[in-house]
Amino acid sequence: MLRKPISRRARFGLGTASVVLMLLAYTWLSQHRQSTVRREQQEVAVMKVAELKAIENRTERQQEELDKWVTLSKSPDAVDRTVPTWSVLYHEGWVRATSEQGSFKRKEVWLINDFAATAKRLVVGLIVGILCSVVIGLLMGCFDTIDAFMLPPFTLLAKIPTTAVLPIFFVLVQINFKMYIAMILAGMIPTLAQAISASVRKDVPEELIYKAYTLGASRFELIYEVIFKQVLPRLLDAARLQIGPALVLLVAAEWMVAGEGIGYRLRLFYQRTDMTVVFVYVILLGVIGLVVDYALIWLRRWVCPWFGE
Amino acid sequence: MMCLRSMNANHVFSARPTSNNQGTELMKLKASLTVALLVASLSTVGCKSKTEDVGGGGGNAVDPASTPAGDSSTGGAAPVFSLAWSEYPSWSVFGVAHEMDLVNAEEGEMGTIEKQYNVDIVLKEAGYDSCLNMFTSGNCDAVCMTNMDALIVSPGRDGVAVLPTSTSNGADACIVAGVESVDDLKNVETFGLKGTVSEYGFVRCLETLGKDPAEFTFTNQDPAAAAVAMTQKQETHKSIMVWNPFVLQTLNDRPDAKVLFDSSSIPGEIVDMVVVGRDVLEKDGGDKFVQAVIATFYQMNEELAKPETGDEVLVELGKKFSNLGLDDMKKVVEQTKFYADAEAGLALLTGEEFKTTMTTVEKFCVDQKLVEDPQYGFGEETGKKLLFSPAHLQTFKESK
Amino acid sequence: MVADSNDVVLECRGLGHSFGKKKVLNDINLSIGRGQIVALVGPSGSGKSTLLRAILGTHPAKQGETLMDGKPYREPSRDRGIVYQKYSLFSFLTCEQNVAFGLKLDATSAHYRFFQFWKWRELRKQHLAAARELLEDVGLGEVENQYPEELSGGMRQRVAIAQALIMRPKLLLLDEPFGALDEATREELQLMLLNLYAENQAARRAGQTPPYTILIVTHELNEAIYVSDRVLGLSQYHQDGKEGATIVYDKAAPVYEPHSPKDVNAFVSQREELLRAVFSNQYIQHHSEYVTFWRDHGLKPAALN
Repeated sequence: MLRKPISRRARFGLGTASVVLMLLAYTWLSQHRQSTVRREQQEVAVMKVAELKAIENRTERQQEELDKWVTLSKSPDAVDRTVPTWSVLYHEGWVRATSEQGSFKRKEVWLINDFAATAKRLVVGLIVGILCSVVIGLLMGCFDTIDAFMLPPFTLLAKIPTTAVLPIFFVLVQINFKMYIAMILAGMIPTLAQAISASVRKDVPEELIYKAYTLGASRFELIYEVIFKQVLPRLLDAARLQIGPALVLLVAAEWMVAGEGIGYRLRLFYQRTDMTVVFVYVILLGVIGLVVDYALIWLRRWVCPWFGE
Repeated sequence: MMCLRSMNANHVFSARPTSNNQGTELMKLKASLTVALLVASLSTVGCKSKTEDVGGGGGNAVDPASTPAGDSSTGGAAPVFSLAWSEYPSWSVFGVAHEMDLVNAEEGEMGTIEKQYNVDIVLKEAGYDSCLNMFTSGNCDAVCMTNMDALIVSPGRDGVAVLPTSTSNGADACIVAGVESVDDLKNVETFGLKGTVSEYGFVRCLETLGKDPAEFTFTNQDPAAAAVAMTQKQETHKSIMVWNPFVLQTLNDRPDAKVLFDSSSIPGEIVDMVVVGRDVLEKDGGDKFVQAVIATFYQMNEELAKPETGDEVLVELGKKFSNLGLDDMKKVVEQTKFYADAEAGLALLTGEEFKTTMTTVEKFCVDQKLVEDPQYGFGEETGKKLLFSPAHLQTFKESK
Repeated sequence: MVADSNDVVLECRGLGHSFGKKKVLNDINLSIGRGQIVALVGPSGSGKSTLLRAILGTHPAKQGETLMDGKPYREPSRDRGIVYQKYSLFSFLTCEQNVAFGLKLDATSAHYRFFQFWKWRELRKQHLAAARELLEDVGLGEVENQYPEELSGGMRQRVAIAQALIMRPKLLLLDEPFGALDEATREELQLMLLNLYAENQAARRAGQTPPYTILIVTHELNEAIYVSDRVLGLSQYHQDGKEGATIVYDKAAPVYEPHSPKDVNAFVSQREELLRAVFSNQYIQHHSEYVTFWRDHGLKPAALN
């Protein structure tokens, strides 16, 4: 039978199993890669030792090299950083990301610096973006004239993958904090304003508007007290769904032009084919994303208890 | 008719708003529309006007925004200029210079050299391509790039090469696995980034070996991706042409890989340098900016040369550049020969060899359709899009 | 008895309306006196709702005019309350807030609520108290803090009526208010309307102005006769030689206070008369044959002069 309900226990068990399976698969893969790298290093070391031993009168430098390869042939020390083992992930990823780095006069903790820089861009962008989208979306939903005027460009803009527009931003706008904000706005407003306007048209029956007039509502009161409040839960949900795309855009932009931030750090470590810090950042992004998502769902339930689940 | 939404015409009970009320309705709509548009364009306009204010890093000496805050030691307002750099041994020195507080990367804050020259240098770290883009779009005043890219982007913005920082002396290499000779290389693809020094090095090295580059296949791929594929022993990747740190990393991570040929056979042809927009030199303080950049670079070279601090600086340089340790960094600076003082820099810029090199580079670029008819010159020449000018180095040397 | 004065609240003069080329309403003349509870019936497609919307002011008729207390209007206002079959309540407000909503919108401005926040809070308490009182009057003392979603259909319509009544509208319009309800609930709500009638009667006896003037649109003939003291029939079947529905029936209806004995025969005979005069397309007479309300009472509404 399709969609046959299962018990809570079975659901929990299966969920746990999938996570454990994922972790086990990663553990196996990383161990496998690590041992492969070590074995290969050992093979090369054995070969080098043989080569160097064949030389009769070794120079001092050759002798040094021989010693090095002899040690390596006994205990290879190569570290795989493409799929790092848990221990490498912790020591080279987590510890490096969370301890003070740099020297001389300037020190920083990457994790804090980068996440703070990205979070600042994201949060300011989201707040401004949501405010603009709400104003434009409500007006579009309420006035056909504005809707007719704004809809064609918005429909077009919403279809363009925003990452594709990045080069235009880099060229046209001074690369600074405001550029990231403008970028998030450009990516967000067409989609979110349309969603809000659609919600105004769909979720606010005309009867409710007439009713408000018979209760003595002014135009502003109608928009704020009735329409806005009626679409608020949908608005919060739509805004929540915009965080993902905004973050994608932001990380992509940071990858290209930023001197700090999550995208910047990912680029640096990608260039070094060193996935230790990358994995730490990626996992953290996932966890934060999950937390924020649930926090916003909770916020929606708290602000709009009438909306249900 | 006060209803906010005009009626849906398909609705059985709907009615159109009557004409006598449409006039006022329309006016209200127009007012609302204006507000909406204003809101929509606000942020973009904000950014745009900022661009115009501080445009190109702001040679605008009197702009109050560019006044270094809380720095009374400099007296007057220090003009703000920006230098874009990407991670490369002789360019990452600017990142380390920030850590050593010779130069403060932030706008409005000054390091020791900035104070000395009374100029506020903003350091912008970004990927190499983004740096070039920033330069041509006027998003920075000076940029770190190679002599070849200086030529390629010259139609985009007039530039003056003021400071050669290093030359590739093995930092660009063709790494192979399972390929025994240069002739065997004809049978496999070589992966690297087209239209860059990688391809240039590939072609030039083959020429110096007496081969015809046309018989070899060079396939376009990002060097980092090519290096990863090589490290992971993908079947397709038997040969890659990449630059450092990928050269050292690949060799470290794949012990059976070896260098078939590298840029040490074409010394002085791939030159890393700092190029300044010509418009910047015409601004107030533009000269001081160039002098401060030159001073920073040579100061850092002195730090590298000091026995007591040299290793530490080198390790920091390694962190800024890649995750290479001290031993590897020593190799890196061998493969990337720094022009460590003004004499070395002047020797390159005033030498005849470099002019021959640029002819070769120009030919390559034109053949590969990377640029059409580039206009470049040396020393005092005028009317060229790109000028290799020893004048600033000379001024610096004389001031010492 | 019901047309006890010439005090006309609502007047429609020569209303006509069409959708495209199709004429729906034609030459509707109508006066409703203060304190009357009027039912509007008619076959489907006769334009009952169109007429109601024209009277409400959200969709003014293309010809003719509507007047309230002698003043023409073309917009909805706080003077005319409305209860729809669906969507009458604001789902983001609790019952209590829903009922108090009109007081908030009508009595205060956004400016006042923002800049005189503390005064507004005091006033708000009074509003909510008034709302609770009214909810208790309609038998919903328990649900004041619940959201409309949590209520049954009958309860929602009670809240909706309370929400409209708290405004003390000059005219309360009910658009098929009980159409979606089951029989038992429907009867309860009809009883509630009769209670309003009883209040009107009590006011009359005390020599005061009756407080409720109601126009109820319904497709249920029994309901129309049962709750109203005057029945209007709107029909497209008439011999005017003109397209479009007009008023073809206007007579007093037997109405009784909730617990007084009822004359069932009177209901039955009026029902038969209505079926013949309004709903049958066989029996076609000049439309004014049954439009006798004002004449029967020996009155002429002042506004018609």
